[in-house]
Amino acid sequence: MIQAQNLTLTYPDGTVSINDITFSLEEGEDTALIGANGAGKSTLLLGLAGVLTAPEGALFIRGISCVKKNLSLIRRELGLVFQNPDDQLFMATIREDLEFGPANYGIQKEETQKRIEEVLSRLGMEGLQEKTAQKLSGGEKRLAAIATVLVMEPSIMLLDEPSSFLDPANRRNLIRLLSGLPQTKLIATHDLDLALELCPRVILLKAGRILADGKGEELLRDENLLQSCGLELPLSLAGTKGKCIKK
Amino acid sequence: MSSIQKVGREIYLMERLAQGTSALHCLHPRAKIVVTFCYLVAVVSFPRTEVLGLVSFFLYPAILIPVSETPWKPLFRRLLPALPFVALGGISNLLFDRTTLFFLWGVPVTSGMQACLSIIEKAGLSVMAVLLLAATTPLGELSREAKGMKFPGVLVDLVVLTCRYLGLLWEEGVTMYTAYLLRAPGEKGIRMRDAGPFLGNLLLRSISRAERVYRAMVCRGFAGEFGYCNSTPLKPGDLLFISAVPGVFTFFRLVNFPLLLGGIFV
Repeated sequence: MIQAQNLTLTYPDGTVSINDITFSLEEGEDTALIGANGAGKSTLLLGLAGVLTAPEGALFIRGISCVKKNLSLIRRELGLVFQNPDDQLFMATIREDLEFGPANYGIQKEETQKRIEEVLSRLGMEGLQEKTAQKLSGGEKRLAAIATVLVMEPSIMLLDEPSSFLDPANRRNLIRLLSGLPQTKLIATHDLDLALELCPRVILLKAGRILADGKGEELLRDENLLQSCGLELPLSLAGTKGKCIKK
Repeated sequence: MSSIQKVGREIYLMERLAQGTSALHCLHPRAKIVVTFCYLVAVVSFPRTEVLGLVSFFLYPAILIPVSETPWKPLFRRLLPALPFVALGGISNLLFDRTTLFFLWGVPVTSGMQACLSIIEKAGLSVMAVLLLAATTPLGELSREAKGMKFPGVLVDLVVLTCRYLGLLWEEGVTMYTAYLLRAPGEKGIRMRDAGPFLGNLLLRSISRAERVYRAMVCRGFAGEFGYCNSTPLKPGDLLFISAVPGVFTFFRLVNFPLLLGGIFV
């Protein structure tokens, strides 16, 4: 679904944020992208969505080359949920936010309404359509942000720190929701317990490069590796001895 | 509530009012746009010194404000800032057009005064009609219908984005202002020496936030122009509104109703 070969992403000021990485993501292969602050997780997600400057190297999303003329197609396949839901909820009401994406792709009103009802029902958000984002709690905003992406029916979901701003109960709801979504998920997160629970595969980034890429169950038990990247063992594994596995 | 928070409530008030469920809210946005346009044309088409004939047109906001369950105070608060500018425009008539028309309790009433009063009346009525439209129709629907009616798309999107940016600017301003006050106990506002850095940072933060919002828009297919779901068709009630109300405007435009009433009773 995603194929990146020698991918380098550079900010407009010339700073290299993702440096010559190669990885691929198959359908159904939910993957966590972990790393310390500044490792390049969010940048990689933005780069995959074609939001930053043109990537160097090869990048294919469902076989479509990530070049300027294909960006519209690519963004239909990729749903990016931003870290801060306030950045994603910019219309007057949640209903208008939900209609925004499909309207940009010329989807008819009836079809859009059908999708909205399905998504709201799945997320348990039926009563929130006419509310403004300012009136929602953190958990509701997160759900609304996810809903605005789901309504576009992407095949791949990119989520940037989805559990940030959430209390434990809402975090648990989010994990339950994400585990039930059929889309292939790439989740950038500091929440290693979430990564352990949701993602069979983990990619560890450090300074814009892939330091490790493997099974979550193994990688997230490697305390030395995690500490070398400024991370710690997931809380659920804290106190257990992990095996040392290096790439 | 601090003054900056009050400003924010005002910014979002019209959008909140537009979510109402009154009979006027339920009318098709296109019907309301057409009727408002007809109203503006009728009001502006009066001769420059007409005062009495415009009085009939006060009926439109006077009837629609209670029908739409819109509180009149916020509308008048929004009207007031426009009046000084209008009065400035009218003042030139007072200064240059001093032809005396009649005396009222010994005071000469000039055609310049009439023209000034007419300008104020026309401006007040026009602004009130547009405010009523904004208070009964969500901005998204207004912009969709405006585009459907072939208004320049770039201008429509510019208005929508400007409104959104003002809201975003306010949100960032409130956050910064709250943080400022929490570290400046006893201060009632921002000190003059801090105002420059505060405003500079506010601009930078709002631009940064706007860029993030723009990225979110782009990721959901935005390509420079807002797309909209197709509009619903007009209903019989909408068609009745479009045909009957401008008919009344035409009648009041052609017949000086207050003068007629005055003639009956005097």
